[in-house]
Amino acid sequence: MNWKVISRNIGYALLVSALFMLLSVVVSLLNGRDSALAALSISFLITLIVGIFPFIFIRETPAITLKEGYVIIFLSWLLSFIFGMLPYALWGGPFTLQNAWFESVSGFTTTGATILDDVEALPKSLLFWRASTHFIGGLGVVVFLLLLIPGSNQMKMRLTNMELTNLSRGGYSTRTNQTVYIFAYVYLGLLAASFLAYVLAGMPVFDAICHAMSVSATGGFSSRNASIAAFDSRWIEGWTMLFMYLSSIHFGLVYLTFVTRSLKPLNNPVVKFYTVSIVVVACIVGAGLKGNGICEGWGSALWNGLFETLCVTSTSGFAILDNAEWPLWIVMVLMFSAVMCGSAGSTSGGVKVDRILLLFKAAGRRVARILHPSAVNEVRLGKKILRDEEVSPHILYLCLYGLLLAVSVALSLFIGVDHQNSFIASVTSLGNVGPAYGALGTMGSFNSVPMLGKLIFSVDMFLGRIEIYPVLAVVAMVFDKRARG
Amino acid sequence: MSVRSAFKRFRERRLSMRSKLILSLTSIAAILLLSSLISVMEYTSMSNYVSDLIADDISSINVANRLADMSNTYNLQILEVIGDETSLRVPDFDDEYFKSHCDSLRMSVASNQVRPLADSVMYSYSAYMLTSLELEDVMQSDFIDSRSWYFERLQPRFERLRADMDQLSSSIYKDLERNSATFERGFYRSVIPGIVAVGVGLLLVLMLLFFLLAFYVNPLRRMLAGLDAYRAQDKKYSVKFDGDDELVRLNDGISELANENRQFRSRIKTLGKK
Repeated sequence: MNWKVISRNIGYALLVSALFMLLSVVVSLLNGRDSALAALSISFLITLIVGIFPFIFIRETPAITLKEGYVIIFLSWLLSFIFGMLPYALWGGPFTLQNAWFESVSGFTTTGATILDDVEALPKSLLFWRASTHFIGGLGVVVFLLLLIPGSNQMKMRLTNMELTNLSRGGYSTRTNQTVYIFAYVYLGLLAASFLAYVLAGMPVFDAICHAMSVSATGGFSSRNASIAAFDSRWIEGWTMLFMYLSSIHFGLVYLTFVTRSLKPLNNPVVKFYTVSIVVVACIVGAGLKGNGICEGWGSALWNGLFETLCVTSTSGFAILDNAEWPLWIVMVLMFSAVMCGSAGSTSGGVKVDRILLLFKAAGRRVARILHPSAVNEVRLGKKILRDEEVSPHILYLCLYGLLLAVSVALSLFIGVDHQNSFIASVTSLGNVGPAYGALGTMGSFNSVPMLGKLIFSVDMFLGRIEIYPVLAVVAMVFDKRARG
Repeated sequence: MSVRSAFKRFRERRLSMRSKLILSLTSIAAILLLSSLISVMEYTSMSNYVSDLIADDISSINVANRLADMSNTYNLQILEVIGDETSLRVPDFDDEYFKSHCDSLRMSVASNQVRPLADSVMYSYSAYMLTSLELEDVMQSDFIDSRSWYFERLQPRFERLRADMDQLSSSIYKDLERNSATFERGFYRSVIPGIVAVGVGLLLVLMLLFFLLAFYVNPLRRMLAGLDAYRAQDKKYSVKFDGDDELVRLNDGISELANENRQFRSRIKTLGKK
């Protein structure tokens, strides 16, 4: 294992964080040197020094191996969490060390769960840093790194292959090396478009920047206590829904739609399944809201149902209603969406709707085989016929996801989290959705969760964000000599 | 000069061993110094601020107790006068002292919750003193029963004054508790930069150790092993390692010298054979 090349690439990842800390310092200066100026400046200096440190000794960027790539991905995320918590920990207020860690992990993994009871009490520069962690995490720390580093094409290709799963790469009809640039173009395009839309809808510029970074990353951090409800504007809610939807479908398809100026690329089985499932869940949730008297008219109930469903499915975690008042069954319906989430190749989390569709198709084929053993039954996704060895890794991933969920629920029950939130918070953390239910719900916070609970949920967020395998690969390298090579 | 060419020049610039060591150790020192300074500054400012608050609270508690004692003594003296019907002397009370201390109490308390309670004490005190001034007329009057006057008019006002003073005292005590907790939190806050400094410092020290081993110690050992093999077994000196500083140049120089020496020796051997 070449630790020189690993440390140099991790240095790049830290420099990305340092750059956004510097921008937050500028925001602080523009806001009359608010109370987070010192915390952000010190964090910037520390992150910059540690990021630059490897460059003193290592000038070249040689090629990397597969194992080094996994270690780079794992450590880039981990160190981004650690250095990302510095502004919070140094600023103080409600941020103890474990709270700062939780907020940082939640930000970088674009989960959007918070420990803050009063978001508006934070200085603007710290709110900007919070939104920035979403922005960096949405694109992926490693993808950011790939955009910046002047390394070889081979190295970029290898890291791209590891950071983006097979499913994510599937929709791009380009070379792997270009995939990362297309991903970045769409991401930045969505950011710019959502910012403009918010400003035109009457949102203050600072809030528009924070919400644009949050919605394009499908994060969920808001600069307001009442989230999107604070603006009380149907236009803002409508734009948020549109951008949550666009950010949660395959960026390759969004790119093709934009380039070809045709909706044809969206005529895709995964997008159709995703859209239909959103509509079905939104109707059920809307009916539930109307039936339980939470919304008065059908129009309002369906609108709120669609908004809340998109918040969960896209893994954004914004809110316009307090789900603490909802009957539990509505939340459980939404939990289906929290597991399924958006498409691969987008910024959303969860197991990805592509895998759920594959699961249904594989189960259907199995049933057909039982009924008609001699018939030829294939798993088809659009025009593509998938072989067993192409389907099985995704089914295995679903099993692994389920197993992790069960472990997380058991551990959080063991440390004293209530039985509803042990399940709901585990699902929303592993799926990078964010808010859970009741006190941990859309208008609540994770502040009341015990310290170990915060640790469990933050590990869930990390595993969910990098899709488990890189962590398992690193763990295997630590404990298995053969894997270490 | 464009930014691009400046960046290119910066990238191509080679650092000497001395520069690398100075830069890396300066980075570690800067982190440690920065965080230690912040720790000390944070702790000092928090300590001064909270110590002042706590000192004010303690002084307020003392003043509140003194005022309570004064009003108790005065009330007992009034009771004594009422009990001893022969005495007609109204007891003395240092009104100015009481008022000035009440005012100072009101000004010194930092908490907004305590200030209205100090005002309540002043109002209750005024009501009590106004009623107590009736004592002389009550004692001289044949129609008013002094005991009834005390229990029906003065005693309720005194009890109100005592209740307000007790409430003020307990509020100041709570304020003191709050400030003590703030002090503890402030201590925790001032420790965090220290923890960060130690953590980051350790990380940098470990990285420096790794780089020193990887770029200097290990290459030196390989060079020594190569030289030993060259001298003892007349093997070709072919040590190579990553780097861009004096050590690489030194290694290249040794390699060149060793190769030249080998060539000379083989020529001498050839000449000797001839």
